Amino acid sequence: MAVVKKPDSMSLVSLAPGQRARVEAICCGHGFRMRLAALGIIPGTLITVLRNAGAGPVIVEARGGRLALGRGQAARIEVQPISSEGEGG
Amino acid sequence: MEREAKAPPKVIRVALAGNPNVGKSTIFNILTGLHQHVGNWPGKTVERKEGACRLEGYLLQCMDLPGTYSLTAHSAEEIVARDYVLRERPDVVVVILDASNIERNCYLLVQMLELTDRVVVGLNMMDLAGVKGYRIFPEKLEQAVGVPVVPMVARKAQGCQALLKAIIEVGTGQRTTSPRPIHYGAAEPTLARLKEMLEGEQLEGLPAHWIALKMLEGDEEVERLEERALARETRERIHALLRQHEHGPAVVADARYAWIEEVLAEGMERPARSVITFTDRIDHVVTHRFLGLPILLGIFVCVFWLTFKVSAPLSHLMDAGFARLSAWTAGAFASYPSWFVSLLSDGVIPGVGGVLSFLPIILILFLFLGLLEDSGYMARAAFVTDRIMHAMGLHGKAFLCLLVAYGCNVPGIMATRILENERDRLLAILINPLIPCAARIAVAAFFVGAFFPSPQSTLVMGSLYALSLLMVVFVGFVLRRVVLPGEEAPFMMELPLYRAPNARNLAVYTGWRLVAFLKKAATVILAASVLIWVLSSFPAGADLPDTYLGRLGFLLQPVGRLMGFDWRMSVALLTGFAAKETSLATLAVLYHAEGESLVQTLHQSMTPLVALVFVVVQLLYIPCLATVAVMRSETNSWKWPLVAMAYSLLLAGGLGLLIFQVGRALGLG
Ligand SMILES: Nc1nc2c(ncn2[C@@H]2O[C@H](COP(=O)(O)OP(=O)(O)OP(=O)(O)O)[C@@H](O)[C@H]2O)c(=O)[nH]1
Ligand SMILES: [Mg+2]
Repeated sequence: MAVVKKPDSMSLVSLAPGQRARVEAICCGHGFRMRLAALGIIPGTLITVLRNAGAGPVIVEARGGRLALGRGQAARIEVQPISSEGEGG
Repeated sequence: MEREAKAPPKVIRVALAGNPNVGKSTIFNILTGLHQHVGNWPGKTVERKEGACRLEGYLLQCMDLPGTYSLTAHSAEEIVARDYVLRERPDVVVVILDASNIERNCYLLVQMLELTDRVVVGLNMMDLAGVKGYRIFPEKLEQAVGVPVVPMVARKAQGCQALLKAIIEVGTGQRTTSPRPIHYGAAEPTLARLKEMLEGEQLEGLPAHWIALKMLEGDEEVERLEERALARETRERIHALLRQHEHGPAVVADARYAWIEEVLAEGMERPARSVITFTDRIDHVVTHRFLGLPILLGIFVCVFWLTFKVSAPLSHLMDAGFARLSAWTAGAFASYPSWFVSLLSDGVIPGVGGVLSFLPIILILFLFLGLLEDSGYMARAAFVTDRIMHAMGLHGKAFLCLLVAYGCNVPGIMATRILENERDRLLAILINPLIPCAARIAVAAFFVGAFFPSPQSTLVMGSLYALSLLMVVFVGFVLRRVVLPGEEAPFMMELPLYRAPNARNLAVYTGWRLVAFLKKAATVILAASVLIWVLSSFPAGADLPDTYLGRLGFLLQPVGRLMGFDWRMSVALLTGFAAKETSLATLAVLYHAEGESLVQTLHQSMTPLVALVFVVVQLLYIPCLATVAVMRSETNSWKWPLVAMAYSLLLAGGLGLLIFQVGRALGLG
């Protein structure tokens, strides 16, 4: 299934710690998507990156819980950054 | 004749479900009085556990299901949990939710409500909800969900009575539940069509609406059921319909979270911005990109050093005590037959005593491991080590299995069930025996303490740990490339809130291990001590080298000699296969000298170099019997335990040879 890239969307691994974003699409694999869904991440979910050291796994907060994701997995999540002021909820 | 017996209690079958690490086992233990292992990292209960509790003429049969995030068919735990609910049809399913992580937790609740409406919600960890700034109104939540919601703090046993009451009410049908309906939006017409197609079909007793939903989600197990239960024609019609709805899974997940948002909007208040918690502050340091690893190392060095420091004097005290006990026995029972006195004072007491002197080490190590586990640090350790574990083609979660193995390899191997991928599991199982368990460390500590003075001994122990880690990385690397190549499994792990460790949990955790150890001392090791005594005492009147055991030792000598071992040490390694502690018991019997402690006799019998070689070999040489058994049951074949035994023997022999020959060449032995 081709993912149509929105103009501003980028991979989760390119977000800096503290940045908030909305998940746009999750790439590759039915099983992977289902597992992420169970952990609270589906397209449309708001996430905050807590840890991203430029290498190794990342930590994100989603739906009030925190999650460690392998870098390979995080790279497959397309997000749209949100400026810290004007987010709706 | 009229039967006067009281009416038998009415049986209510209860299943306890919930995400990992939400307190299911804690609640199960309170309800049933059983002592299940409790800790603070996701995924400890890997099998279902059963227990019962009696109340007001009811018998509640409780089942503690493994923690799962969802009810898909992607892991063994999820299948266990959902098959139990689907096929055994418990009267009540209790879904335990973590109030401090309620939104994500509700995802399982929705899925459970798709399966059955006989649900009671145990809203646990109410004490932690405030930390997150949540205000939860259980009555409003109950209204919104449509099933009983019981607020609880399981750690303080709060809310259990109310939970039991709700279970009985729902289980007996006194209280009917009416779960809030879930609207699948765009998928509704498809679901309706699927249900139509399934009408009148035999679906092994499973509800058609659930099967339809799972078809839409692309569930593999349901596809298999389809093949068993449906005619080809029906299947083709269904697949044609499903092909038009590629987005089925996404729509379903979306609908579930929409349901959750509605429910939570009615039942709780959340701060607009997430508050900065104690957990955030700690994580800021311990998951730091540069500090994380040194902190982890620091913590474990401290743990092992303290364990060694505190337990060594206690162990030596016990060892000396048993030496005196054995001497005293020889005198006190002088009027009994001499073989009996010898069995006691040369066989049972030194053998079992030598092993019991490990008690302090085991106790303290498990206490520390329990402390780390209960606090929530373990999940961070997985995060921090993820990058290193990648070198072995594993990810951070596998590190947890290795950590547990420092206590004992058996639970370490069982813990590999938290790994989703078969290849990862096999790899983690195969390298597990290389982690020195408490028993092997205790044997090592005994030798090192006996042969090396204080500052040196710490260094030697440290190098032994480092050596075993090096071997883990090396063997993992080789196995990963040669035996088990394949794709890397995804790493996804929840990081729980830190919690103050709980004394009761710790006591249960440590006590449980202690009992297991004492049982082993009372059975395997006692039997081994007697056997060794028999083999080393007969034929009657023979000198030790001419006894059966002596002859066995000489058979092993060609190999043992290469590493500087005398026949007694070879025999000790042989018996160590039964349980690693047994090798010390064997040495205690074989080197037993009247009124002297083992330390003294050993000192006269070998050089420090030989002692070191012995320690290295016994650290690595072969998984013990219990470990082999659990490897066989976890991998369902003899192949992998045999592989593990073969490679570890080669590794230990090779290293032993190397150290001894190099050491001797350097003039150390
Ligand atoms: N603060 C707090 N901690 C709790 C409460 N209930 C349980 N805990 C702690 O939560 C941790 C996990 O508890 P378990 O009972 O092992 O959880 P589980 O759901 O069985 O976990 P898995 O077997 O991994 O699925 C332990 O450290 C408990 O002490 C509670 O109400 N409040
Ligand atoms: Mg449990």
